Amino acid sequence: MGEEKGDFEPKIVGFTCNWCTYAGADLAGTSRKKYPPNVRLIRMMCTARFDPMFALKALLNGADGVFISGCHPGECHYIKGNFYARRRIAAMRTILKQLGLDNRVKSYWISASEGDKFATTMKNITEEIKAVGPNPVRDEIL
Amino acid sequence: MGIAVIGGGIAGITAALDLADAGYKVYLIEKNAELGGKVAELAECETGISPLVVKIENHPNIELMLSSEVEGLSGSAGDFKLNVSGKEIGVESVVLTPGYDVYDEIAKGYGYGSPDVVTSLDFEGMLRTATVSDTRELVRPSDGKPVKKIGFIKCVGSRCKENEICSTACCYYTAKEAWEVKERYPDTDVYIFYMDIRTFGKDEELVADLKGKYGVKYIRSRVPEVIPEEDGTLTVKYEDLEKGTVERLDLDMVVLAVGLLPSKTIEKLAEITGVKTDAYGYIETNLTSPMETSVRGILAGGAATAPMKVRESVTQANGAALKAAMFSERTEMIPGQEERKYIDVGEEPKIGVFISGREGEIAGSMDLSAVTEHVNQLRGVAVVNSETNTLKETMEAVESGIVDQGLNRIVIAGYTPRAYEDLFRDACAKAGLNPYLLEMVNLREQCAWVHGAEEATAAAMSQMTMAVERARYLEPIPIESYPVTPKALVVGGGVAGMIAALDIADVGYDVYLAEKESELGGKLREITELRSGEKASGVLKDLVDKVASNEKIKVYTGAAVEDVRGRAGAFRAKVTGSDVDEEIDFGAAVLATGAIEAVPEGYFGYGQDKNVATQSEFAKMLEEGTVVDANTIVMVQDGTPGDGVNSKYKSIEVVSNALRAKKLKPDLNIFVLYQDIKTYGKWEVLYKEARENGVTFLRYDEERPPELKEGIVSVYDVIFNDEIQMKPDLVVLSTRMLPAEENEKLSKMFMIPLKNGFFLEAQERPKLVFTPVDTVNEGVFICGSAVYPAMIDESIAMGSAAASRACVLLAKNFLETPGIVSVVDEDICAGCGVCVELCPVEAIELVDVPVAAVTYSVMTVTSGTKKVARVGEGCMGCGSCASYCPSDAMSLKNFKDKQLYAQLDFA
Repeated sequence: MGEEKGDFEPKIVGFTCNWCTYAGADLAGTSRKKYPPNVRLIRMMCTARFDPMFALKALLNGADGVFISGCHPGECHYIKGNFYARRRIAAMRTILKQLGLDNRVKSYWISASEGDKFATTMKNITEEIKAVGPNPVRDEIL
Repeated sequence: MGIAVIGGGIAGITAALDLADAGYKVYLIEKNAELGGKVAELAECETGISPLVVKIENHPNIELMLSSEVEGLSGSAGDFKLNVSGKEIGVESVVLTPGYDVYDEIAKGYGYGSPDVVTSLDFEGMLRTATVSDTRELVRPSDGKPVKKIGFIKCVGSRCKENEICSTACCYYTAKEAWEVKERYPDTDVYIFYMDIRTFGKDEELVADLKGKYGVKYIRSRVPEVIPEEDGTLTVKYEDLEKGTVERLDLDMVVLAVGLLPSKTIEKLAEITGVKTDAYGYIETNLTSPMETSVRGILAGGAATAPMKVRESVTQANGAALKAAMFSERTEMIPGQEERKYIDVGEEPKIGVFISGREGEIAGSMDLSAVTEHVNQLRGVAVVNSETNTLKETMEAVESGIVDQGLNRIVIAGYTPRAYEDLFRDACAKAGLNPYLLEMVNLREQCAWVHGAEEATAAAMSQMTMAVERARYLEPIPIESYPVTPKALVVGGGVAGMIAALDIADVGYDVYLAEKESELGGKLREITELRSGEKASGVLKDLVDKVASNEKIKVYTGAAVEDVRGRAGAFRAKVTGSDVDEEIDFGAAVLATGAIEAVPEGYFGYGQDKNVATQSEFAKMLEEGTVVDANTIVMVQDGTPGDGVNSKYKSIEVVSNALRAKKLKPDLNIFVLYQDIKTYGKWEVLYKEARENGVTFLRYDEERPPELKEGIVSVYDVIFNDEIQMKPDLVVLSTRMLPAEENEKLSKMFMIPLKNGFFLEAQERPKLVFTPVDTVNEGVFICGSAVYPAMIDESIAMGSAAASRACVLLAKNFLETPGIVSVVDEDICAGCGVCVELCPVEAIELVDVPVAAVTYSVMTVTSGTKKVARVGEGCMGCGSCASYCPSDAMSLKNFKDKQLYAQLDFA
């Protein structure tokens, strides 16, 4: 084993929709909210574009955590894209549980006006993934 | 000739862009050296307004006249001569958007003069400074110590002797500032001193959030006194209205929510142009023609006509632009309407990376040379340019990189794609590069501003790698032009809908107007008298006659719109009804479905007790004179239970009905039971008049709402601190407003999200609305009480604004197909139909296609047809189908698997 739990800098990949969470991240920026630099965002127009394969690929690539974040229920730019994403994440969890990776994948609703929530969420997920420890897949690859 | 827009704040910018984008020649005249006006001074607006400013600077149809003042005007509508700083220009019409000034004769008692007592506009500046400073802390101007307790005092210089009207904007901007403080510095205690909270619609929710989850303390108190102590503390002495005691609160900082005054330039402009001003010095307009001044051909908009917020200013500016256009003619080319040819980009990526450092934004927060060095090493990168500082410079560098250096992929680092992608796509297209070969990295909001210097540098490198890798896989997306159908559909024939239809028709386009009732008029048919005293029936008849006699408007009554297909510029729908079943084509749609009054069934016995009426029923009684029998009337303004939202005119309805009743019978006792009286703007004088005429206003405790038992109304008055009982002959209730029933269906057909059942506008900035009548679906506009229940002047302004936005689109000969849409690989598609079920806009259908012949050694088999999915015009590019497709036959352009994986592999 390489690094120990809590004592490493996790790599976290976030899939965000353009209209809500990505905009929330922008607001965190204009509000100068500091959060750990462990997160890399991948912007998509809607979280409906999220394919569970993306999360698996990220984890297989060695990411320690993955999150998906879109608009609040009822506020989706495409009316119900965020519900589709939620449904797929729920389905994906059954597989992740078997692989023991369930606690590495999170999902949130963060709106364009929730800059503080975005920053806080980034802090929390970084802490949570630190507590979970490094992705074991990473050791297998390296 | 052209149109002159005088004043380059947000209203002037809006009006100029609407006109120029529709092909009119515009002279934008601004007395300062820069555009932006007051909005540019607001904390987070510069980033919102700068793309608009760049658009103006580069607009071929706008002649920008900065540091210029209007010195003379002669001629008349259709042929004005304007003298601008010594230069003469000829225009057909003029739009006045000179804006407002802030109240600056602040009374001594507020402690103004102490460095820690600042006005709200100065506070916005402080928030901005805090944004770019190293500490990012909110500090006291006097000693640089962090602000732990901050107080906002509202109504400074409004609702007072010196300025008796309500400045309208302050309640909201104070809430916004308090929200920004709490969002950025959650440990800071925030106190707001106020008289009434006059926020409406979604802003009411913001206030509820502030009181609730943010823990902001709202303290109702008239004119508190601020005493600067020797140790730097600011003691606020205020009267606790509920306890009747004088309280003291020690704060670190005080923000004075100063009122709005008409701009000082209005007086001079009025003199030059001859437009009338009202009693308060604003440009005079009318309730039923809110953008028209007393001089024909001279229009006005924004805070120069009355104190208002950004949303209303922009709405009026959109509307004023259209009204001004009526006097002029389109003479100019519309940008983007020239034929564009794109270079063949070939296989090998030649990536140009442009890092816009901008002092104080990125350059200071990370090691830019290290990032540049890193990017230089990445595969496929041909050029890295980190020398540009302004948006304009970067755009020019991109264009020359494409033209002179043959770049075929562009990566822009610095700005957020949300506000700047369109500008850079356009720059690429202008230079001959397919606009989808662009990738943006948000090094500002999502890197430099949120991480420490060392961390930011490392994160930036990683973000840059992801972007460059993605750029390698970007593909040109074929763009086709399709003709715009120069016709509009307006849904709803109330005031807003009729105005929108008339305005679009007057510009010269055909309009279909679909009204579900058998007659036009909407809510105006139920109203007897407008707040201006005008008879509603006269206004209604005038509008209906104009619509009926306009050859360009085809009216369908008793009709519904169904089966909407297509996209901006080329929609198709069915109009159905008892005597109509017609297929129509149109380029733009305006939704103006209005709102309906909720029946307050059971509240105060409404429905059973005949002595309980709604305000609109009461208005009818006033018209008939039946209230003369009553001696005591109790009006209950707040607390009406049930679905729906509060109208913006609720308090105005209460005070004006009370005044009308008092006029009919001066000795009538009228009690108004309320929480907040929201007579915004100039309506404040009605509130004052009502109090002077003996109408009694009783504010009750929110926890102890008034009750009616056996004919007795009891209410716990917070000022007397006691229960008061009344025996009214009539109880009048304010009603809540419900959205039109058809909104649900229209929302799905036109893809416009709803909030509480009302249509939601497109919103780019989190707390500012620069696009009040635009929606997320291009080509679909919203107006009137379908957006929020508004007064007639606002509904009319919104109707004209929606018309203006629609006409900008209809002025184009063609539009380009959207790039980010789904596409099917028909060879792989198994025709399962999962995507058909999923598509939120029903843009996908299954079609039969002939199956290609399959050859097995010597035998060729053709098996007739198979079903495949086909993506139609309605696709909005959400990507649901692409991610669900079990056989990977469906993909979303610009977000293909390989493009996302390229990013993922380097994340």
